[in-house]
Amino acid sequence: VRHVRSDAQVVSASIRDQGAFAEIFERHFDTVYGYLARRVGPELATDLASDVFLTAFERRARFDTGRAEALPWLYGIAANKLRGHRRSEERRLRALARTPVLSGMDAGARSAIESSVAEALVSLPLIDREVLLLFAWADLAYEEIAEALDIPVGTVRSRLNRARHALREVLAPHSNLTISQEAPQWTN
Amino acid sequence: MDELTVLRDLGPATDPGTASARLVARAALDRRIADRRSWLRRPLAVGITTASAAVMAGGAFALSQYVFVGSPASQAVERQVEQIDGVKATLRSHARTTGVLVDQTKAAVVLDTVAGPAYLWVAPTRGGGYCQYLDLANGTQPGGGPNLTGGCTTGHPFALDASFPWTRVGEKTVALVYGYVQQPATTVQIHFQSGATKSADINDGYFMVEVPAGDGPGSADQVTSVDALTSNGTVVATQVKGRIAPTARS
Repeated sequence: VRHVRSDAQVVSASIRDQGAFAEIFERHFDTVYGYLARRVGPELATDLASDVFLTAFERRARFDTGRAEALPWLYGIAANKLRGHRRSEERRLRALARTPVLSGMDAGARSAIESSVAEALVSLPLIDREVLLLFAWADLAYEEIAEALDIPVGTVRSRLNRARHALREVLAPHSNLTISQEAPQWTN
Repeated sequence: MDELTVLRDLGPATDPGTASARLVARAALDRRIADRRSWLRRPLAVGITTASAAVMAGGAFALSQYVFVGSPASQAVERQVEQIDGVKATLRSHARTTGVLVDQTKAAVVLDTVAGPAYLWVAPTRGGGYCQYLDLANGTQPGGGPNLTGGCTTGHPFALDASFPWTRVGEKTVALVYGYVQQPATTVQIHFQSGATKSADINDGYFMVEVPAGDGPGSADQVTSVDALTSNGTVVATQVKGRIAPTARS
């Protein structure tokens, strides 16, 4: 049986053996970078993701080893790094909404919907956007979001509800559009 | 289709630049780990050797008088450069040595700091990268050998590659800014929170300068960034302290 150390065990080991922290990097860099790239674009994400792991390394002694997973902690550090780059994120979101998509949906209708969603995201309070994107893009559970942002779980629920409601409102005008999620049908 | 489905489809979930981002970030983390590891150990080593410190310090100073810019490394320094490379090769992430050309190790900068002589030993690697190892003559290991800290790069990924270490040697605290800068830079300028600056010359791309330890005006804690400048004063790269080194333009 191969025993794999938990993140908490690896972080604990890195207090005395600094080199052990590289394993945390290997386990989570792609995930953290992917999330940041989606939010602020690849160029800035490279700097921010590197900063996240340097900061995590410096603060590893403060990691709560009662929590097995380090990912929420890393997302929390990433959230702090993102705060200074709100404009970059807003530009990125608007650009994403303009990006042509290849799917079975009607491209025009889809583009209109995504533009509306991107604008709604931009207009959300920062903390609401953070909660929503950690939920939708990072796939964190309520408890993990609470841990990442250091807020109560109840606050996560209420903020998430509010953010989703805001998105539903902007989607309402598009509800009469017929949008298929099926793959396109090809005929000879 | 609900709002979460639309949101999850917004933008690519993966980025093709992950591999290059990972390389740059990993290099930065490795260097931070290497800096912390050696510099954390150094005061311990000094503490252990208290009884023989006077004798060894005297010896180190005597030796240091024969180290100039461009001096080849002693066998003891070469052995440790080789050893560090070998240890790195045992780490999962490295898998092999960096290919440092040990016999080409030479002193790029020699400084007389508050804690005695400091050397920046540099060496090329087979893959076209470079290695930098910081050495305080009075911060020797228990056996009396050099106690190097530093590491290597693969290629020349950074336009400006500065480190900001500090440590205690006996009763003294020494803080340095050292690193590598690519052409066409001819000098580096260190910026402090107060707006003051301090310049350092570049020798074959390498620089090292001492800054006062502590948190007063113009001290190590007040360093904010380093600029690389050309001979006509044009800033070609800036590295903000605490941020990743600026990458070189290909």
